[in-house]
Amino acid sequence: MSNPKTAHSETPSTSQSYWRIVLHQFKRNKQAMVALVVLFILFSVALFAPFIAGEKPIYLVKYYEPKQAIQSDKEPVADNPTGEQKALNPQVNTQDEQPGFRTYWFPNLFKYEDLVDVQFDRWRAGEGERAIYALVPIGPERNNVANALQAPDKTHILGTDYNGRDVFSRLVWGTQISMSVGFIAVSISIILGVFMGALAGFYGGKIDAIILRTIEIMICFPSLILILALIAFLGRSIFIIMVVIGIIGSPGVARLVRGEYLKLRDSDFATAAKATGLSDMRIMFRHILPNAMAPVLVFATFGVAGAILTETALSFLGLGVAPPTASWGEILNQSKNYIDFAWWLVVFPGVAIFVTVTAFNLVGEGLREAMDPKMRQ
Amino acid sequence: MSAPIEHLLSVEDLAVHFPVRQGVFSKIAGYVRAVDGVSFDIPKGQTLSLVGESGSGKTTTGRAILRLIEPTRGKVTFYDKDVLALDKKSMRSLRKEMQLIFQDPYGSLNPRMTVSSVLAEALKAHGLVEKSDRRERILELLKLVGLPPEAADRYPNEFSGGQRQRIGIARALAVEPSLIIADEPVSALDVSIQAQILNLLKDLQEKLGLTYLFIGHDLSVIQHISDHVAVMYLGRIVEIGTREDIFNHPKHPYTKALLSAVPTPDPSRMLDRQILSGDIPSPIAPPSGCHFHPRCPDCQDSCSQSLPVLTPCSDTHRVACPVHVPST
Repeated sequence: MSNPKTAHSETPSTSQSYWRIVLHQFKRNKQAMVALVVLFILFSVALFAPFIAGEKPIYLVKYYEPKQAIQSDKEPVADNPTGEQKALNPQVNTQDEQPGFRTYWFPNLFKYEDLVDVQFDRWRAGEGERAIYALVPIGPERNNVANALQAPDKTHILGTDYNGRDVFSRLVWGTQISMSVGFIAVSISIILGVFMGALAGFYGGKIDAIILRTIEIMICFPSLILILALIAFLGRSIFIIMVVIGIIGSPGVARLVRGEYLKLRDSDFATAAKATGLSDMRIMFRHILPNAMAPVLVFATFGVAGAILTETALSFLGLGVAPPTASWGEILNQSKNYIDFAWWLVVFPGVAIFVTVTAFNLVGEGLREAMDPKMRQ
Repeated sequence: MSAPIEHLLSVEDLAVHFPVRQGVFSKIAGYVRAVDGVSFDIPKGQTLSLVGESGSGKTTTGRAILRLIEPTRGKVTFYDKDVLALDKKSMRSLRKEMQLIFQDPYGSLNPRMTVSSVLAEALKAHGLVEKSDRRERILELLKLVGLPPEAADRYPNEFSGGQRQRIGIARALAVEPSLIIADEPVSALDVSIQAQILNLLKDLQEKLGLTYLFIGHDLSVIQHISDHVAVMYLGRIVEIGTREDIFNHPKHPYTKALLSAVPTPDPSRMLDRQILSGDIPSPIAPPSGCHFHPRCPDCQDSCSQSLPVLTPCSDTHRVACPVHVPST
């Protein structure tokens, strides 16, 4: 940014911005940096789960046999003479019916009409057919009861559970669930919390009193019991869990944001914005909010860890994600019945949870220290 | 004021009282009379200065006129509009006409916004300039206050105090106001930079026909910039007049004390310096009668009895001191 032509810039005292100082401070914290790397790896695992473990190939060349002809033969033509049946069956297309080799990119990510009937766990490449698989070519939901509760070996590197499902594959896919619960729940907390806190802190008076009382009531509920009750009423769904964890986290954010707004609403720059003639909403969200987000960011990192733990606890109680979807807590839930011999069912998900939560907490701690002017050397 | 002069701003009996709350139930225990019945007029294109010690209510007066603090009573007339009677929406559009320059050049600029976005906010708020012309207008404003065009895309913390104050002035000018309330715009700056900013303000007044309400405590600054001066003490105006009236013929003992506190290069004048004892009293429980009487060198028995009113001693000059200007 520094332009040598401008003689006016004699004081680049505090570099470009506040965040640069924070970043500089954060980089000096080795623990936090290691934790950040761990988080980065976890993100990658969640994002690339279909490439790490799964039975569907990444790349596939397969011989294609048309089957639409047979289907359209069966079609009861006289049933609906208006022609709607044709629209229902758009595959009837002469060009598609040519048999031959076809190339499919990323059947693990996209759905191909041609491949719906293929059982990939049994499918083997024939002559001229080729497939590139994920690192571990076993899906997280593939049952094989004959193979249940196997200790780690070459095919199942982290063993199998009581349904014969591969624990490694389930852990990898469980990362996706944990990460998405963590981030979506915390995003909901932040959106709700910022809104409540901003209104309360900016306007004060009656609005503040109403919002504060609401927050106090929300904090009074024991979160796990509330979630259990809501699941009992609304049914078992990962989205309900995310939303409820998010709502339960919002009062904490609201209090932080309220405090910042109380401090900033009387600052000169907010007064200046008002004197300029800007609307309250614009002052609140465009001018004050960017200055109030720092403590929220720290809260968010700890919040993600908390949300992941809550989801794990729910799954452990058997009230988390619906089976057969993989989740860390669900593996732990099974393990309690076989704990005397199936150590791999306890250790691996336990380590995954421990590492993730610790990493988030260390990053949060690092951020907090980096933002605290008293900690700076 | 015999000839009909067009007043841009008239303030009548303006008062701002803050409640003081005490106890468990926050009962109102009393009021801080920060501003207590202030009246003045500013002719168009001229500068009125408010002078006084800290805590005399200068800043509060300025903010009450802009309704950044809601006044308790009084009347503010801007052109022919009754400012205090406006609803929220019309007040917001009136803000285009009245702008504020802040004392603290560090706190008054949003640290998370570049200079150009600070200025753009003002332009957007009143829909003054088409989006395509906005950048050009911002550069024009920067040029007007003596900043290079490169300044537009920088953050406030990259500038010195004087430059920041120029940005603050540019923000005030962005909406093309007719009145600017300058709240001690130079008291946080270096002496060498003070002169630059003051001259900039004077130039802009000439160029754009601005009217200033200048708030300050440094009398040499006030003498440099003002056409009229009002001296405030504990929320009230004790003396008001033209610059000549106040600086050459001060009547009120408080004004005299303030003037004698101005440092001069002439050592012989040091001798008749008048030093005020004590601090400004609490505005929660102001002294009876004339608020100044406990510190007044010319105090008489009657001074603690009744509150003096502003009494004219010439066409332009009014003083609230019965000892020096007896009311008829």
